[in-house]
Amino acid sequence: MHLRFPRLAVPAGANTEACVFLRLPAQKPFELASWDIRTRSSGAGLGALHFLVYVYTGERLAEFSKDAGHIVPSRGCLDLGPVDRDRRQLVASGFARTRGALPQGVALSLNPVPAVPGGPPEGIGLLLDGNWSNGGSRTRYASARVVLHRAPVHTVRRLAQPIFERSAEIALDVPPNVSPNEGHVMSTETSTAAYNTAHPEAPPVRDTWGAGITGGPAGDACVLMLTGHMHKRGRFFGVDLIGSDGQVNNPVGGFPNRFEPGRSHLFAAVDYTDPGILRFSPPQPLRATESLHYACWDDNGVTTPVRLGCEETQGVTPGRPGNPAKPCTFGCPGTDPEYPGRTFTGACVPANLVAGETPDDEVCALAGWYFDAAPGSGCDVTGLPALR
Amino acid sequence: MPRVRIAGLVLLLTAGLGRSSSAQIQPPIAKPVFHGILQLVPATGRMDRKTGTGTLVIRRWTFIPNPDSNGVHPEQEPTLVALGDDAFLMAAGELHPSRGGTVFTYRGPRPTGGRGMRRFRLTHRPADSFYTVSFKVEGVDLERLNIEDPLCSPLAVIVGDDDGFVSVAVTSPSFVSRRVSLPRICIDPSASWPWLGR
Repeated sequence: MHLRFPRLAVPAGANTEACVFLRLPAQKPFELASWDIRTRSSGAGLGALHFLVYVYTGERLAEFSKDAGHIVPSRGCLDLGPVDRDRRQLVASGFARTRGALPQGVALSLNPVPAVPGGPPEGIGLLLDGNWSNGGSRTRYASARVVLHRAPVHTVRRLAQPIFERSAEIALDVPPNVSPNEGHVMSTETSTAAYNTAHPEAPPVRDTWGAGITGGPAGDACVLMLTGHMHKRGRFFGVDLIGSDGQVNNPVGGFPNRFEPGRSHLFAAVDYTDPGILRFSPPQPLRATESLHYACWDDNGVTTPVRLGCEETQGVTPGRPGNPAKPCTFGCPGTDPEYPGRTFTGACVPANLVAGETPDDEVCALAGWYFDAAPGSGCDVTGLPALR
Repeated sequence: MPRVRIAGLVLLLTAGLGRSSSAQIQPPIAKPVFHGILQLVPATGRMDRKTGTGTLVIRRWTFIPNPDSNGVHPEQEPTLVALGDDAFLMAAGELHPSRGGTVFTYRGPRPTGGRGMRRFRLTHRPADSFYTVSFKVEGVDLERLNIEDPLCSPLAVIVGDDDGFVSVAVTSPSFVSRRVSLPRICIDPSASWPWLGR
């Protein structure tokens, strides 16, 4: 499968990130075994900062396809696509000329998704995200080509499954950085702990991924890759390996936490536009008794622009978990059919930062890929029979 | 950033946690103070795709010590070859001087476990104070070449408190090929990708 990121002009001195959505008509999954990424740039001073390939896993391919083939300048690819644009999985990354592969016997299934919710699978949606920096004195041009290689027949013994865990964002609620909350960067660990305390009758939210958790593996697993997904006010994303004893069991020399000195993680990301990837070779075994805990540190106005929203009750900061504030983008009229049952005072005020679908709201998701361990809990699947 | 990785590795060796080429307890190596340069000549090797380990043969690379160095004494100082997180140590006194102290050689035994320095040769060029370095090392961890190509790995030759350093591209024709080459230098993405900055 050959993909092309069209020619993009990068002005002198600019750092340009742009996205291209590609729709590939398909009814059957594409079983990916390896890939080639080649970014091209014209002239001196232009360098690729990252090039990422996502597969769209939502249910609104038709809406996404409105942007198909066009270059859309956007940080983190948050400014294109339908409301479920966050349902995407990082598949490949690289720059210059990079090749990547899955372990022998493992393929990653790129599944076709419906054009509309509830519809039949219509195509595979791929999102290409390129970021170039031009340190030169003239406009330069960048482009990229991606080749996805299908796994040869009779070689696939395990299919990689996606990791996409979002429970940490359920209670995310960061007040705006205005008096009396100056200097506030809050972690989802704090908001989840507060939520669990306030809801003692409900099963506790654990912000973890592992066996026995919805979306997790049935038993022992082999983790291929980990990454994080945040929006623009996500300042830090950290993942911890939780051992069978329930204690953090990160390897020595992990990624330091910029907000909690002395704490380090199995994996961390500091940039929502370039979340980075922790790829394991060989795959990381994750026993059924182990899990991955994750958290985001979100900033509502300390070093990022404060979230603004339409005031609903005078003197009350708008936005709460499950009900993000209406963005002020198109003004704050008294009512809005897109916000049924809610009325607005007409004022645009600093709002609480909570999870939501718009790029102005936050997301905190642990993403990646895994496959079920071979019998005996090994991650070498070359001895298993081919799936087909 | 790559230098930090190498320095971290050296500290591990200082603490006695590193593995030595001769599988014996080795005296610690000093932390490099004088940072020099390694000049690359394309090199080759091979790897076992199953185990992810490989053999690299480096010929006639140029080691340019830091001009402020207090002197390079391979016959007295421990010598370390580090590639990424892998390190191969030759203890002080294991390099044999010859030709009036201008050539220093080491021949290692066939390593148990398939891992170790097989041969190492450092030639002093009095005319320019540079050194020519050649070595063959077995059991290098190239596991990541099974999923990623090319790799950009920091490589250092450390003699006492002097090091020569280069970031080198490690590549293979395909994900099943046994051939490995080090064709060029590279820019380690960890130096510019903030999420890798540890």
